[in-house]
Formats: sequence, C-alpha cells, structure tokens
Amino acid sequence: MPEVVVHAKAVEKKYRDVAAVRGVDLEVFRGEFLTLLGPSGCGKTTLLRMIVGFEQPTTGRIVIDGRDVTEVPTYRRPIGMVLQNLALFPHMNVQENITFGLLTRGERKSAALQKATQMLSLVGLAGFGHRLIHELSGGQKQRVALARSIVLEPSVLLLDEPLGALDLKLRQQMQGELKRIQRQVGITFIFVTHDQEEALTMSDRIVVMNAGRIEQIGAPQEIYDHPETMFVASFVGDTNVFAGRAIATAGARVSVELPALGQTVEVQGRGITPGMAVNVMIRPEFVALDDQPGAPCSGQVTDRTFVGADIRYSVTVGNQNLEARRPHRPEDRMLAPSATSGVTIDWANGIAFPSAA
Amino acid sequence: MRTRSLVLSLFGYAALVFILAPIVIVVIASFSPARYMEFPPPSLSLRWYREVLGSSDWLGAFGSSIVLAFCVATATTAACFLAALVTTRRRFVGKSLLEMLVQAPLLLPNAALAMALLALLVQIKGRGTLGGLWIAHCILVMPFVYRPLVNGLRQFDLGLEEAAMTLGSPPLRTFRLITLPAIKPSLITAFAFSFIISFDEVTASVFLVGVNYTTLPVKILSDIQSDATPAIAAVSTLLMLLTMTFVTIVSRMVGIGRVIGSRSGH
Ligand SMILES: Nc1ncnc2c1ncn2[C@@H]1O[C@H](COP(=O)(O)OP(=O)(O)OP(=O)(O)O)[C@@H](O)[C@H]1O
Ligand SMILES: [Mg+2]
Repeated sequence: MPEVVVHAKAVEKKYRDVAAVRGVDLEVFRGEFLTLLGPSGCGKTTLLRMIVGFEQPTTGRIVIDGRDVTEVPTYRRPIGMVLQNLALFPHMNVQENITFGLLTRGERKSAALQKATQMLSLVGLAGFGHRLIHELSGGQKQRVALARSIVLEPSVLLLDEPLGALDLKLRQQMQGELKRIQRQVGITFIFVTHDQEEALTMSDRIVVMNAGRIEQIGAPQEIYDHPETMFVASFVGDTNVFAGRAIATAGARVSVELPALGQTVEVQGRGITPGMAVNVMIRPEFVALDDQPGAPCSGQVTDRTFVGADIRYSVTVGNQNLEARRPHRPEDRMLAPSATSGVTIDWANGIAFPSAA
Repeated sequence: MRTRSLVLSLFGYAALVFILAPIVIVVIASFSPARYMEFPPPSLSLRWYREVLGSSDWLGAFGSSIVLAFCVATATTAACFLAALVTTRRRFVGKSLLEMLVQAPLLLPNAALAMALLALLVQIKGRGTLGGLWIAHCILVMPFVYRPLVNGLRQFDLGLEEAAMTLGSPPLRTFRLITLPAIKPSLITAFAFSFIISFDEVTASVFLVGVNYTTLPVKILSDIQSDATPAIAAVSTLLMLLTMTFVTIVSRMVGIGRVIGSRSGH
C-alpha cells in the first residue's frame, strides 16, 4: 500500500451560494505525478488553494503527512506551489528568488547559495543566477519558479496550470522537462490542467473533475479505455455518442437498440437495467471506413482532415454524424468528401451509460 | 499642416514665456540692493539674501514650515497607507463611508474648512501651535495622499505574497521583503506630495497661525501686505531652488522604483 502524502477528506468549499468544490475525497500517494483535470470553473484551483492553505474548506479536513493541517497557515505547511502566473519576485534576481525560502527558513547564506546553484543546473539554467526576472524568457521563468519551490524539498508540490501561458512547442518541451525533474527529485506533484492530452501524457494518475466533484480517479490508460461516466468519456479523448435503449443485460455487457442506425448492438455497461434510456459512446478509432461489401451500414463522408499520422473523417450514417479515425499510410487510398463508404463499428469497445434524464 | 504646427509651437512658446517670465523677474529682482522691489534693479547685490538668511524671523518661519510639513507627511502617509491597505484588501461595512470621509476635504473650499478648523482649534486651545496646524494640514492633505496609495496597492500582485507564503515566509517577513519594496514608489510619491502641499499651504493656515507661531507662506503673505522689500523675492528664489532639488531627488528615487514596479506585471 503506497504511503499517503495528502488526504483531502470530504472537502467542500462554498463561496456564498456558489459551491466551488463539493464533497471531494482524495488521497495522493508519495512520489506520484497526480493531475487534476477538468473544464474551466470545475474547482481545480479552489481545491489546490485549500490544500496549500490560501482558502479554508467550508467543511472537511486537509491532512498532509498524517497531520491535520486544516487550521495551519500556508507558511507552516510542508508544501510548495507554482502559481498560474508564476509570481517570481520582480525586485530580486534569479538566485535571490531561489534562496528566498532557504533564508526564510534560517539556513546559512553560503549553504543556500550552494543549493541554488545545484537547483539551477537541475532545471537547466546553470549560470543564470544573476539574471533579473524580466531578463528571462517564458520557459526560463517557469524553470526558476520550479527551482524556487523544489529547493525547499516540500512533501508535495502543487502546480496550477504552469504551462498555460506557453506556446505549443515550448509547452511540449516543458512537459518533458517537468516529468524529468519530477522523477529526478522524487517529489509528489499535484498538477492542474484543463488540457486532456497534457494530463494523459504526464500523469501517473488522473483525477477528472466536473462541477466541483471528482468523476473518476485512475491511470491515464484506465481513464481513456474505461471511463466511468459519460462526462469522462467525452472530456478525455474524442467520442461518438449514440442515444439508445437497453434491451437486455448480461454481466458487464448490455444489448442496446440504436434507433439512429436501426441496429441492436452489444456493448460494455454497468449498472444498467433493461428498458433504461442510455447513451453509447465509441471512440473514433473503433469506427472503420471501408468499401468492402457486407459492412453493416453505409455512410457518406462529409469531411476529411489530414493530421499527419492520422486521417480524421466525418461521416453521416442515417441522420447521425460520426467521427472516424484511422492511421495514415502512404499506400492507402484516401476517401474523398461526399464519397459513400461502408461503416464498420467495433462495438465491443463501446460503453453504455445511463442517460442523464 | 505646417502652418498649424507652427502656430501650435508658437502658442506653446508663448505660454512658456508667460509662465516663466514672472519667475525670472522675481529671481532678478531678488538681487537688487534697493529698499523697494523694482525691475530692472539698479545694480546687483546679495544684500537681501544676507538679510533673510540672518533673520531669525525668516529662519524661524522656514523651520516651522519644514517641521510641520514633515510631521504632516509622516502622519498622512502612514494613516492613508493603513486605510488604503484595508480598503483595497478587505470588504467591510462602512468601507465606502470611510473612503468618502477621507476624500471629503476635496469638496469643501479651503477657506470654509479653515473657519471650521479655527472654531475647533479655539475650543481645544490649539490655535497658533504646531499641533493645531498639524491637525488642520493632515485633514487637508489626506485626499491627495490616499488616492496614489490606493492605486499603488491595486497594482500590486497579491500572488507575490501568496508565493512567499508557500516558500515558508510568515506575514510580517512577507510584507517587509516582498510587499514593501513593490509599493515603495507609491509611498515615496505620497510622502513627497503631502510634504509639498503642507509646505505650500496658505489659505487655511492664515486663519490658524498665531503671534508666536507662523509658517513661511503665511509670513510671505503678510510681509507682502506690509512692506514689499526684495527680501520676499530672495525668499521665493531660495524656495524655488529648494523645491527643484527636492523634486529632482524624489523623481530619481521614484523613477528607479518605477522600473522595478513595472516589471512585476510580467
Ligand atoms: N473567490 C471566489 N469567490 C466566488 N466564487 C469563486 C471564487 N473563486 C472561485 N469561484 C468560483 O468557484 C468555481 C470554481 O473555480 P476555480 O477557480 O476553482 O475553477 P478552475 O477549475 O480552476 O477553473 P480554470 O480552469 O478556469 O482555472 C467557479 O465557478 C468560480 O466562479
Ligand atoms: Mg484555475
């Protein structure tokens, strides 16, 4: 059983009549890279701010390293945070920013300087100690903010969308850097993003949040392959959704009638009873377009997007719009928009959810 | 286009001459050896400078004004800073009332305010004392100090304080090492502003000075009314010199501070 570093117990936060976080229970394990993923306004920042101590939970407790810190002020919590706008101290140079926490803690200046130098080379900024903050690029500022917190060796480091302001290229580079640094120092990271791709590539575990609640916690692959709610299914990765009605259930399998296709298909599904209205989701990669006869239905290609490794098609089947994706190979013939094609769907990978009615 | 810019610049120069000419005349007149102010002076001498700098009356009034301005600037800057800190960071009942009270003196004519203050100071036997003028000036100066401080604090990124807290810094240390350096320009500006306003104040002060206690602007006023010697021109010249030095020093300090302040935006 891995050791729990941060434990949020039944945490709720109300701002007057707005419930920003509702009943969140979360255990964060030592050394892991945990990501809070969710749409804007779902309460990610609010949850982080309660863990770090900027906000008091309306109800619930925050436990760090086995100690209840709900009433403990931020500066006495064993915690670091990289804020969304980084908040580097503008009147100090890089080195002074990094030694600030060490000196606050009462460490000797010489020891602090030595640690700062080590940190700078860890984050790839050796020799930048005397630069002023405004003399740094966006990516370099990120690294300084990171170094400033990591040098204090906190039990857990919180990062609130630290890469949000960077352009795509730099963002991807920093994602790799962040992962490398996290592995190297072994500090627990709680990382916030609303970018599902970023969450999938970086995390050991992902916490998907929606409207102040946790929808699902799991490894990236688990979240992608086995979403537990319709929200998770549609927020993480692309999906096609069909409305239908459950006809029969057998263990974790459900037979669903899909009026849009005029078919009855067997998909995965839990907690569904016959007769229930359901939504069936299927990822674009399980929708195959081919001309072979015998395809269960046919559709018309309405759009085609070439994205290098993949080709994405939009297809209309009956009156339902479908996304299909297939890996691109140079020898393949591409389907032209408005072409008619057979459509084969691998329903075994479809998942049915009770439709929210 | 060309004629327009020509007319404009001519107008500009005319305005400049219009503003500067009296000042130049005062400066030149101050070097007159004559008993009465005349322009141009018959010859040049430092007689009135010797007179002024050797007079305990003038030096006393000058000293009073400096001490008064310093006390007023210190008190208003401190009080308004605390008020601005509270109003920019907290919500509380009566906040807008407090803001209105601080800024109310702007709405009243100084003379009316002075009458009210006179009544008050007579009551508390504060007329013609440093304490009395201090109270009066503080009230008059407050609105001019409060605004720049509020603006300075609004521009300050509270995220910097939060970041310092996550680095283990308790509130007082955070205030001293993070907040204060960032808002120092606003504080210096506020202090300089209130110092100059108090030092220059004459409308209300005229009502409130006494036989044994007067300020420099009030003494200049009353001397002009009694006998207009070139001593007044000499005092004015000295004051201009002093003010210019003061403003230069302050703008240097704030100028450097501004550079630092503007960086916090990134
Ligand atoms: N200080 C506050 N006062 C009132 N409501 C607030 C406050 N802070 C946050 N909220 C509300 O709480 C909800 C959650 O906000 P939060 O900032 O946690 O979202 P988020 O998930 O971080 O979003 P984003 O991805 O946009 O940063 C939002 O509806 C927001 O409007
Ligand atoms: Mg946020």
